[in-house]
Amino acid sequence: MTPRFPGHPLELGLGVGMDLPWGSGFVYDPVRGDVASEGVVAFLRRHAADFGHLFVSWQPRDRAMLDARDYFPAYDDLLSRVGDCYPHRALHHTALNLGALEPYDRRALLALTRALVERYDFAWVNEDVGLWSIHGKPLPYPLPPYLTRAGLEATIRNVREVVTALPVPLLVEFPGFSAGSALVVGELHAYDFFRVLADEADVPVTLDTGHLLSYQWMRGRRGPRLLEELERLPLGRCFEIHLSGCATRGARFHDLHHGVLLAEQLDLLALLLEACPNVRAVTYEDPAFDMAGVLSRESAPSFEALREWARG
Amino acid sequence: MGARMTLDEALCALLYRRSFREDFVRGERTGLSGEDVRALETLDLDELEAAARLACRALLERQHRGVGTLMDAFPETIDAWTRAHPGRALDELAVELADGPAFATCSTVEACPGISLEEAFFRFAEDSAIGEPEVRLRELAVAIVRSLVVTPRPFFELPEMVRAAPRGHFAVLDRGPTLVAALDGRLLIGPVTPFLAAALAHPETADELAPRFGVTRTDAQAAMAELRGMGLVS
Repeated sequence: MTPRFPGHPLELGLGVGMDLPWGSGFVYDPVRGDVASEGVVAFLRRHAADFGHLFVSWQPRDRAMLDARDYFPAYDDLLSRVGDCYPHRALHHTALNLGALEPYDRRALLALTRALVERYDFAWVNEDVGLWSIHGKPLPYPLPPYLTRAGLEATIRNVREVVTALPVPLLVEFPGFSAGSALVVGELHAYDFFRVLADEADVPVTLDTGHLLSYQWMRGRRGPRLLEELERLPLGRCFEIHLSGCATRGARFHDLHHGVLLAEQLDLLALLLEACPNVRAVTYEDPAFDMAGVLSRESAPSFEALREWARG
Repeated sequence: MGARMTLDEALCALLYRRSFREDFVRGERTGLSGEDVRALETLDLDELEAAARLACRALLERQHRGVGTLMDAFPETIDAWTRAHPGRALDELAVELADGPAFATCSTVEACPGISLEEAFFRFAEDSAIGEPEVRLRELAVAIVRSLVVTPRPFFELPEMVRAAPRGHFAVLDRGPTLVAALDGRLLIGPVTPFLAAALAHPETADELAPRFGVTRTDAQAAMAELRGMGLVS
């Protein structure tokens, strides 16, 4: 089966993904209310020519009953200031909780998501497949789904529910297994779990290079073996590839989102680009920059490597 | 461990309940199905311990709009715990909170019903007799009402002491008595007369209550008109 891919972008290209936590990505201004931080706006404007698409994250602002209108001021502000530079945009969700086994009422969340998609013309929604909360309890990092038959069946059901409710494609993202979230419950191979999920729910996917490497790292693989077993992934369904800053310290793999890419991430990117016939979006996720929008010195080589690839 | 539990309940308990985790590490598997036991055998116990520590610690540091962290909301109660436990890190307080029954009933997402983290902490402090009863009750009332200033329609269940009003919410503390209110997006904290405290609790019978407090009928009606004007009663 061919999944329903996003309509944009039509050509393979480099884009940027922005985590926008309340208090730093979005900030409260006593006069203007919720607005995008100056650093975010400055970075996106400064590098508009480098990126063909933009994803922005959604996180709950507070503990109010969900109402999309509470979120419009912040996103309106951001997109009124940078939207002209980024006609192709997407939403990275953080609360769909696609791996949950327990009852999880998504109705209000999906209504809010639909409203955001329609207002800001997001071409797709994505979320890491996993647990973002458990029985209403917060998790410091999202955890992988239950790698069991029951966990797979529940995740397929959850993904189908979300797909049915959204007006644009849902891209499910391979989850992370880095330090803090390497809690594996169940014996299924995560690549197989992810492939069967994508096939059964018939959805396009996002492959995050750091997440893939963190899984193989957790399994004790090192060097070239980190890049093996790609054929077990749903490569034909891959529309987007994420690259966020990662590092290894001793025996641990850290998904730091600090803008500095490992050499292995770029190696993996090259392999995936060859193996994924439908990929259209390569996304540099959570670049590190200052309030003037200037990229950190440490992450400049990573960014340059991506820019060089994009130039062909 | 005891009654039958599901895999998701077990993972939640392993992350948040130290007593459950310790039993599990010792090999206790009562209440889990054979299939779930096999699934949980894949857990790296060092990773589990690290994740549990992080998850519990985050309970104290988690920011809530309008309120801040639990440490901001309950400074005196937490200070009382610190004084009573010299040499113990606050992480230990977080672990005890998470291991208790009150925490099991709280929720931080709309998709799952539950009480607020603040109320869970309050109930835990009550059960554990941390600090002074009146102090922790005041800290709870102020925290919840502060939260209602910025989120008048919260997804969490409100404590019984917090009541809805035409233009917001309020609680009346016996000490003083003291009114703590969120009205039209503003926080109001101040002393009220014993009659007003009673009238806010039972506005429909304010006229009958007045004589008990030595308040004339005329004064009572004037006071109720004032409360109505403020949006505290209908």
